[in-house]
Amino acid sequence: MKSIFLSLLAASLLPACAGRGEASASSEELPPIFPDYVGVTVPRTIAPLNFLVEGAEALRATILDASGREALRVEGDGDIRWPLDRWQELLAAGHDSLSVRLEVWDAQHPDGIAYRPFTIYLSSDPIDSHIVYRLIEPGYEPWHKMGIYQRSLSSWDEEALVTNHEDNGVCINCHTSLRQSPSTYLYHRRGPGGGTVIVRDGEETLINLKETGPGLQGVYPAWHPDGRYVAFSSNATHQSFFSQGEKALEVYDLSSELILLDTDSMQVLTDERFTEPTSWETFPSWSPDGRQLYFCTAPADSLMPHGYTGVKYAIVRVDFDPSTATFGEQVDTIYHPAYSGGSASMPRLSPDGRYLLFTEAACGTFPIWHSEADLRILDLQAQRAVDCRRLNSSEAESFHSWSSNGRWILFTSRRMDGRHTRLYIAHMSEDGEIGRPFMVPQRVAADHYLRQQSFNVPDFVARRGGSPGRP
Amino acid sequence: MTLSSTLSLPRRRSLSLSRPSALALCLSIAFALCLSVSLTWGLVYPDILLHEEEITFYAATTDYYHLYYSLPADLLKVVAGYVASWYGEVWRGVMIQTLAVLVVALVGLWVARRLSRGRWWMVLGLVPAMVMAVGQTHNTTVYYTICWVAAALVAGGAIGLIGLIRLISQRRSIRPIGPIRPIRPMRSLWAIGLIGLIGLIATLTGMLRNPTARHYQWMQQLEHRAFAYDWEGVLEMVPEGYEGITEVSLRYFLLALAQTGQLEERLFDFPVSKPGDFFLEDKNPVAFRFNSLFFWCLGVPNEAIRYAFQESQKGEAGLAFGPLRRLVDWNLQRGDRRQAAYYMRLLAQTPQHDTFLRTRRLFLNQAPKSEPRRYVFLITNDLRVNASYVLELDSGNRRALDYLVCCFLLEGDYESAADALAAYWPADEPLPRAYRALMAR
Repeated sequence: MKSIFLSLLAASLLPACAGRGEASASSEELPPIFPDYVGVTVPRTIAPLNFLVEGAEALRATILDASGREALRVEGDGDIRWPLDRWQELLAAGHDSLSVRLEVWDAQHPDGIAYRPFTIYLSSDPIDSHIVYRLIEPGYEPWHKMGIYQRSLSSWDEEALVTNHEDNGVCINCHTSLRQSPSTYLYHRRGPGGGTVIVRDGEETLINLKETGPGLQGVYPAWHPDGRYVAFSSNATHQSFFSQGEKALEVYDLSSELILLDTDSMQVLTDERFTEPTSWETFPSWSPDGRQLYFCTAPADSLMPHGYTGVKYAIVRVDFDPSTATFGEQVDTIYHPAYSGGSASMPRLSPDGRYLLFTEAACGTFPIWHSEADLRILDLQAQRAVDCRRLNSSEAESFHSWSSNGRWILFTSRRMDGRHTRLYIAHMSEDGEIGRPFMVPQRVAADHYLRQQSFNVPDFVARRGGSPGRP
Repeated sequence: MTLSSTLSLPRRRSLSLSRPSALALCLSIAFALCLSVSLTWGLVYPDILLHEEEITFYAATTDYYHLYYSLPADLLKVVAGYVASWYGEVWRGVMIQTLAVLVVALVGLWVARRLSRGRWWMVLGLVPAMVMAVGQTHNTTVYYTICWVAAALVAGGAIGLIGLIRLISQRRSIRPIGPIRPIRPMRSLWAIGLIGLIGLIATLTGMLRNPTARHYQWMQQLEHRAFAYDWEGVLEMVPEGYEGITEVSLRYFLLALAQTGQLEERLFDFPVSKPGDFFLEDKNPVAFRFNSLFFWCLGVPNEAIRYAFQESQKGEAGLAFGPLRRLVDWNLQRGDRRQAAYYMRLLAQTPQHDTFLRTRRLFLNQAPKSEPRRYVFLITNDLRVNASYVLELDSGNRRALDYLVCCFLLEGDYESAADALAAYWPADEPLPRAYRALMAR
């Protein structure tokens, strides 16, 4: 009796395909896995690329080495979960790629089907150890729980840095770190007693920018590389909602200017050219040497919101002298809607200053709500556009950042369902060759579907950091 | 045969009540209490039970346990969410409410019996259950009920642990805290009965004479009828003489009038004064819930979905069952299969939604509905503008026309009201009486 019980218990604990033989059928097609990790390029320190197959009753995934021998085999009921330690060993072994053979048992193939093996390419370029992002519901006006989290790219560890869980009335946004530093960053707290919080080595300073200088609130920030200055755009942002159609809303500014915060004196400086009401300036971003400020600009439009389709932003740059905190006379145009036809947002220079990464949409300044929004990269040295087709999809791509070595691009995309933003990483070689991006893996693949919140404003950080009060 | 045996008097039969009789009486009182609770919730407050399920959420997902709750601190909230998911049927909610009271009653009785050593005042062990029963009608959340049950189990567990410690330390057979002595006879039974009766009457009174709960039940009944599109049922609930109509109930009555084509005829029977009386401008779940239905009925699906999403977002776990189900259905009807599929996947992680999902999967698997190209407009806070836009898209939208005309009437702009009628009323249809009077001005 006891042995029967133990046998039953053991049987219930085994995956469904344990004891199954090889799949009886084979297919030349690639397996329909989710996330789609077929042909992606990943760093050698990435966490296991766990995936699922919709409708599968049992799965068996085998990683083959260069000589075709089995290096790792995992079975699962509906998803594959690679063991972390074995995975890390395999990636560190020095291979250029992994070949994965997948067998699936489902209602259509009760005796199993073996799909064509797919390849995962391994890059030798290192990647920062952690990423930081905000989690927020993909909502409209109100919010509920949100927070800024950091996640290890080598494991599943996700921990909160700052949240509003104790006071849901507070909105936390625009987390920005200084040169991927986990210990020096700022973010905004909106709500009663809010302002801009600057964190340096665990010490917090709260400043209300509206109470200094010209009385303009800071919105989108950009740390100067030397850590003393922070450029902000000061935006009057609004939303309008569409009555029908897949597009839910449009986010737009009714005004925006540029201000500069000197964190030594806590004074706010302005250049009157960038605070005129006749034009809108937004999304400041510094060159790696801190000698130039890039930002987006558009002529002010009094017909908003109904005239939103006519608002298109250019990318310009102006010289900056850190010793005097003044901007140069000349403003150069890098991207102009009249030639390119779109509207640019969020310019980001690569760490070597060669590439300019930005989002291009048909119009407007908040591309995540534009399904046509795509990432674009300009090679400023070669004066050409980089082929970004591999990065983009039929849904919005946006909120992008560079790794500290400029070899990896982290961005958000709504390609999964058109609403919930998920994180993707793509490799880019020195000469601008872009690898197939991969979705940042989760321990349980179904979590990609089931997470209620969207990933927002992600950035790389060089190492694990502490929350305020805990360096 | 000894003298003592021949001369011994017949053994006087003890009239002391054996423990089971007093206990049986206490259990009877507990049973009567539970019956009262069942009948109260089942007959008097059934819609409150349904509403408790609609505003809560439970799912076996990472975000539920990682972002919105964390264990073990939020264990009771998680349990409450799980239990609340069973309240989608009135009979299940009644059973759970009753069972919870029963557990508290039994534990209280057990503890009191041990503390009192079986004396008559062990009936006081039922008092916590009676307080709980009344409290459930004041704090209708499932979390409140779960906290009571948890507290009872902890108290009972503590007493049991003390007994166990005594057993181990004294190496004696299990005894209550102090020996249970025989109860004194009829007087004690009467005491138990009287206390129990007083307690039952007080409990029933507390549960039923609760104006807040009564109004809550009335409002939930109104909402349920509206969301079931039972507009006649909604209008049946208009108070006599239009007395005591609240801000929220007014909106539901006006919506029912619009849906039944009576808005122009009966609008001014109600306490209305401005176009803003048709919908709610507050930013709370009650307002979001009404507005979602309002805009769905008007034919502005994106707004309906926006408000349903916002209502769900305000749930404690960032989601709520009621608006989630609406988001599935409305996205399916709107043709947005991807969004419907996302919410269906979430609901698949919850208990009690198998039947709901089985039927919706049939719709999901049908060919996708292609949305025709059409002009879309930006929503404003002015109902006149929104209604005008709706009429531009669909000139036959009677509800939009009624709202537009009534908005003008509320502002005393009879000329614009007449112009709107002239522009949009079908020429081959006779005007209702109220509109004829307007055109005749």
